[in-house]
Amino acid sequence: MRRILAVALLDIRRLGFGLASGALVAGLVPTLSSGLGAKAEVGAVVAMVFFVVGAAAGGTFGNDFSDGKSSFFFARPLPAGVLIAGRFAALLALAAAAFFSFMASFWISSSDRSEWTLAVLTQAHAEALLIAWAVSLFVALAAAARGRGVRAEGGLRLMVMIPVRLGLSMGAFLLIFGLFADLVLRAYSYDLRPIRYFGLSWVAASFVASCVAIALGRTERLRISRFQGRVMAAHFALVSVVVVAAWLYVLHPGPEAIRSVDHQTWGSSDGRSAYVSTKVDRGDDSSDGLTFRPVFILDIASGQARRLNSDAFQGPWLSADGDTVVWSEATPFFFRPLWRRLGGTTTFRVKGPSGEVTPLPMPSKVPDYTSIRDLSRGLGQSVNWVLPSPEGDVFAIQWDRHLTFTSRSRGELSEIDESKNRSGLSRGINLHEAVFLPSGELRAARVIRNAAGAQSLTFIDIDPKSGSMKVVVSIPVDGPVRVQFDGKAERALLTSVTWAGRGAFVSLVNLSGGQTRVLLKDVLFPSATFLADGRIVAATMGAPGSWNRRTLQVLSPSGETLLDIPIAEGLTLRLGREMFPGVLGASTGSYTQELSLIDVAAGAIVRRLPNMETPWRWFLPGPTTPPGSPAARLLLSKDGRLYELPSINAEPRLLLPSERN
Amino acid sequence: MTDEALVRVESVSVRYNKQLVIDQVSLEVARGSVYALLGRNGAGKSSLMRCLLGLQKPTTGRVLIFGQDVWMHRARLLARAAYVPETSDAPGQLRVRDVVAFHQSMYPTWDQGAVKARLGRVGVGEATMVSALSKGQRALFTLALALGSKPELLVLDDPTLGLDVVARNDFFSDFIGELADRGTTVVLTTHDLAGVEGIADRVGILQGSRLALDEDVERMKIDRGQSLEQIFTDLTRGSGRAS
Repeated sequence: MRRILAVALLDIRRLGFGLASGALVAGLVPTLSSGLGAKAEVGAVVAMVFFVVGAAAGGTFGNDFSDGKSSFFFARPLPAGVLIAGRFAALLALAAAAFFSFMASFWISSSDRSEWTLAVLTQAHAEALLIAWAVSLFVALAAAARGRGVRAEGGLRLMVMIPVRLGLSMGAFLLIFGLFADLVLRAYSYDLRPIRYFGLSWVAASFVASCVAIALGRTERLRISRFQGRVMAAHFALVSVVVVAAWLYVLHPGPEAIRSVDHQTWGSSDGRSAYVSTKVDRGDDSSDGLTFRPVFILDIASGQARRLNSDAFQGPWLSADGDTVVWSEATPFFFRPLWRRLGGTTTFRVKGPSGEVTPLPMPSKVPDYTSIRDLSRGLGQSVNWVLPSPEGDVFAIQWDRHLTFTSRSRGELSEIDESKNRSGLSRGINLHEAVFLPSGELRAARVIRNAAGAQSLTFIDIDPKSGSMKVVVSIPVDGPVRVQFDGKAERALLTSVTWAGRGAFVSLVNLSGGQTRVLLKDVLFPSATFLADGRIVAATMGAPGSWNRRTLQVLSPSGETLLDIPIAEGLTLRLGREMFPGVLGASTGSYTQELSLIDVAAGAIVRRLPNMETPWRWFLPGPTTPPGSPAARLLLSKDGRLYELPSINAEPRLLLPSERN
Repeated sequence: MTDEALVRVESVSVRYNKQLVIDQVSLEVARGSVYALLGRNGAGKSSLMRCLLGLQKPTTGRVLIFGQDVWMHRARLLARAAYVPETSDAPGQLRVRDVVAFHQSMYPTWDQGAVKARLGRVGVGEATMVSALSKGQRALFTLALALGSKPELLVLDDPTLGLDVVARNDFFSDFIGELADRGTTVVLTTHDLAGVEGIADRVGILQGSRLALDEDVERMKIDRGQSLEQIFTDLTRGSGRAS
């Protein structure tokens, strides 16, 4: 203990006055800044003071090894452990001295003494002190060990080997840091713990490296340098193993990792399988729906699921017949520009009816991670959506305010660039029901706003080959409108949104003749959908002034009312999908979630399923799942369990997570 | 190893990367004797001195002092030894008294009175900053610190390098006086052949990374009929690095 104190006193005598003086000045900062109209947090200034103390103490310790000066310690009967303990004791003493100097100065200069308390110290201050100490010790020791070197033999060989070694080291570092960044970006973007642990592991390793180098290198610079390097190399090897293992484990979950199912679930065109967005037992735990939601392809009959290795929000996108699927393969994000520069293909993949997976020929302008700049767009922001044509040859790609057509057989076809036109193609919602017509044209809706601010919803047919647009019909609208095509895109249902207490409407647009028919007007929270036989079902929750008069209307394909069914139960009424032919699922809960099966022919609720709803998918085109097929009969419970309802009266069969989980 | 050997160097080699600085050097230093290790600049004298004190690990071989491996037991063995480096290693931001206090805490055998007396004799004030000392004062200050622990073994690495004639004479006279009092075993390196000729019992000359000569000084002078300087010049001509 006597020798520890002796070592500590050396640092206190060398640094104490300067650091305490600096802390006295820093103690004036909160008051001075408030006098200038700015607010300097006392805790932040103290953290800065601690950081400076740590850096000064660590730097002095490391610098004591320059030019063989460490013999001052090692030529004395002083074990290395006592030397390190003494320097650490000095660090704590200096930090205490700086803190009390700061608080004394702060007390004198400030009239507000609410923060004049030890409670201003947090874990972050200890971290600032220790991290600064460890890092500056490592850096100063490395600098001291570098010094004047002994010229090694084999200069020519070294001239070749140094760049090779440097290149390999840099490559290994980039690989591991890139994989770690990929892991964080995909699975932990809202959880800072992995970054924190990763960073702290390097700080801890640098401290261990310094201690080992001091104990085993003593006064010999080459050995100090060598041991620092070896410990850091060992740490790098350990980090590499951990990062690679974590990358493989976290980002490649199997179906057994599924803990719950998201709302985003949609069936295939034949209804036998479904794409299911899931939450798994790894990655961060945020419930924002933006992070790690692996998509699994579920075979409903067998209950078997396999993961689609896709980027978040970059597929899968299906053609209307469901035979063609497009997605962006989840390759390591930060290596994509390098991969492309080395001649690698795009991450976008197409799986055709034959099951063969090929790269999607991406148009040149699409931000497809060919450059470093593309990375700044982040993950899942490359394109908004891709719509494959039924034959799987032509693809419509919407990105930013562009719509680009590309063909597997003919390459890039055309591009509509409305990036400078504020009334041009909007992102997402108004094209979410875009569909390829049998003629090969793309039928879609766009919102146009004129100079006076008036807004209209315009249905257009776009020729992929030329990019020319033909207006089918244009309808004035006020506020957001949801568009839904029927199976052949000959009719469209427009459902507006209730907002600011104003009633909404449901309209039917005949896209062949251009006529529009208002089905419901001035109603609250309407929803509407096409049935497979062409009929229309519309539901409302009343009208302004007559709230809670829920009704369900069954209408003919041309919009004549066939049935008007009052729904007395529950407080809400929101239509889901046609689960069985003529039987519709609708959310009708009171204070709890409930799914009601409504027989539209009989006009009656035929079954109630508490805590259930039908899964749905927002704002993306895709196939229509035939009623009665397994995918149409999927149910999602409130706690994220996916079921299949075998028949109207049968018990739901649990699909995911499997009971084994 | 003879019973009287306080220092024993066993086949020590030192290599920096691929450069061999010391090649298989073995020597012994008898208790109570003065051993002068000579060699031209870059001959490896300082490296050997550091190995002698466990400050540096030999690439091969080992060094025993007081019969034990100094690399393994450095902290314990150095309680009985002291070191005077080529240039003072005391941190310049400290005052003389702080450095003395530090040494006092390190050595149970510390003689504070003798150190104060010696510092007074050479005119080094206790409140003086180490960085403010002249080169000669620093050398004498370092020697005072080394002798303060009453070491059984004293290792000096070219302690008179850069000193003027007066300071150099003071150094050796002080040094010789202390030795006469205590019978301390001394290992030193120096370029001051005339100075060392009068105090060394045995001399070793490093040449071309090997120990080219390791003999009793008086016997060597009688056998060869030459002064130490002539012998050194003959042995090392054309080797080593220019000063």
